Amino acid sequence: MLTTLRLLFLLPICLFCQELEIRLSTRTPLKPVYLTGLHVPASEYDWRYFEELRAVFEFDLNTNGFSTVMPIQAGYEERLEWPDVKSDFNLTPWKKDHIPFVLAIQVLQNRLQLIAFDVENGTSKKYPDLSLTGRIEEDRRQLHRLADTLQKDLFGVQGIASLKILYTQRQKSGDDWISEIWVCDADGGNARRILSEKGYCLSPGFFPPAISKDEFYYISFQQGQSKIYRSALNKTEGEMMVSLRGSQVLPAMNRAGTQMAFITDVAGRPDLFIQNLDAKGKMSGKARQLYSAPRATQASPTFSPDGKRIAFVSDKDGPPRIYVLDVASPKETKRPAPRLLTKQNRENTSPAWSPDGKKLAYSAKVDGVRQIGIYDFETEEEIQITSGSENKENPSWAPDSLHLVYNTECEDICELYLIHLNQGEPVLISKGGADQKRFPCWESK
Amino acid sequence: MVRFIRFLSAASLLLAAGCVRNSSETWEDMKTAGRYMGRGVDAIWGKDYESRMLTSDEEFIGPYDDEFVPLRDSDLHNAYAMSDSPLPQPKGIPGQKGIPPLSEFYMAPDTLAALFHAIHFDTDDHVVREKSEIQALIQLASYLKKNPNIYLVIEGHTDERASAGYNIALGMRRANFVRSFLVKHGVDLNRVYTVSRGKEHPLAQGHGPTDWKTNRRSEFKIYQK
Repeated sequence: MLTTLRLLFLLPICLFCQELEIRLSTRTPLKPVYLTGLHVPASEYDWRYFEELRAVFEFDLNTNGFSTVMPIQAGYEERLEWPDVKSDFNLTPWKKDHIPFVLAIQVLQNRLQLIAFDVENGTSKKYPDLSLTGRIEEDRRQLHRLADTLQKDLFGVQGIASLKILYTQRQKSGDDWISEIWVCDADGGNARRILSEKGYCLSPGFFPPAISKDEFYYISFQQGQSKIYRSALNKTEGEMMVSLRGSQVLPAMNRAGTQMAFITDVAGRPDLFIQNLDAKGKMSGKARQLYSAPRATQASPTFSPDGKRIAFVSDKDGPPRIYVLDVASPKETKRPAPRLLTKQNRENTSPAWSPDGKKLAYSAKVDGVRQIGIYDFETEEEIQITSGSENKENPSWAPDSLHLVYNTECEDICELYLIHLNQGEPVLISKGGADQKRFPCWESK
Repeated sequence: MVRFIRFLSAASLLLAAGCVRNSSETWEDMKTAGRYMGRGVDAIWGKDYESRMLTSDEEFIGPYDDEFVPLRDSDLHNAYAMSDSPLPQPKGIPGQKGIPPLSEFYMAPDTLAALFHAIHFDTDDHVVREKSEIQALIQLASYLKKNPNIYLVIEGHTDERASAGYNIALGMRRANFVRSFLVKHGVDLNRVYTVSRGKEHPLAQGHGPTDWKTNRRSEFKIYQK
């Protein structure tokens, strides 16, 4: 009897399985890179300026998903002969220390010089000098472009450090809130407000490069109801892009720039609509109702890279989950049947289709906290890639389909984080403060 | 007897272990099931704020404008979709041709505050269920019918707990539910506008259940011509 009771007591404990966090199997080890101290014999600029430039470069190398920068060591610095680093470079000690790459940087006559040594292959490359302007915003951008080029040379994959991130910044203004469109570099630097129109803006997105460089769309409440607008990084105001009655929210454009999906209540309920666009990104023809369901709320569409499918959020079956449906022919007006994608967790929202079409990033509630998950279309696995007590949402893919940017939300604090699927640990890129950074969107290539 | 008790204990524990993942997920599952049961029961009793069987195609399809290409909802014909029957947006665009811009709408004066007080919702829900609030909406509809010079904006709000994107859509659903209710009780649909604020403009700034309940609301602003 006692034995039976003990067994019965233990049985449910064994059956109460906690959900395990599963990491992607694409993880590859990071290659160590020795980045020398920035050698500056003499310059008109302050040494702190050079410290910042080196830090920018180091950040890009540490977050590219391929390399990890080693700490500066006096013993390693002594191996290098400045200014003619290349001719005196000795591979042997670096090989002995298993350091595959050495990056020697120095500033000569206000020109930044980089020589990359591939120790394993015994080769080196001197990159074109960067002419430093003394303006940190411009010189940071130069370094980001250099980091991207270097990554392509060392690891065969173009970097994303030189791309921009759009986002919204929300702050108190008297008794009310305002939310404005901002842009920053991929490391969170050079952050600046774009639009001067006061009001409330949400969910910006870049136009695809096929249509326009530097243009973006966003939601604005300047007319009272939310409408879809367009503007550009060098403009201070926007113009209305979709003119339907009622409210329009959560726009997404396909990669070809020929269609925009969004949620609107023009028919009296928050349904998924699609609008054709012409070559200049202007409305072409009527908007078309794509999906509706009884007593359901639809949200957050995202296009597949080929533009043939849309993943979106619906609570038609209870808590919000992510479904996918085909973008039907314009002649098709029968309600389509979407396929449920995310089944593991509750409250799956904010889907974002990866540019390579193989994955979907989204926000899922796990043990009461919203985490970032990845749905793999090939294996149909749902994989959690973040942890911790802060809510996370609005993931956005970089063009390499390996980096994600998302925002956290913990009471009144919202920050932007960068994560590489191969590295795992997210990195804070926004600069703190009381303002809430949300709805990040990566520039496309 | 002892064997029977052992069998019952084992069966009960197995069932419990199989059904329960953790307490919050169990609670969410129960609420979801409860909502479906509630909808079914309400439909049986024909509560018209929730659903009823539609009597004709015309009533189902509604007075569509030609502003967009609609789905043909004939495959929804058998669904209890009263509260979801298409309801076009007002013909007049705010700020144009005599329609006041939404920026000029204001909170109702103190003399009318009781009539235009906020309406509240359950978590993840867009249907008004409190009898007192349903009654308040009926009274509001009656007042608006008698005062055709009043325009109304209904703002849909949510609490902070779901993502911002989903909440902006849920706020839209709530505002449109209230609009639909008022129109079905005789208010001119061309005088009622909706705006979703999602979780962007909370009334209560805290992060507990009481604050969440306060924030799950529809608010009204008016413009008297």
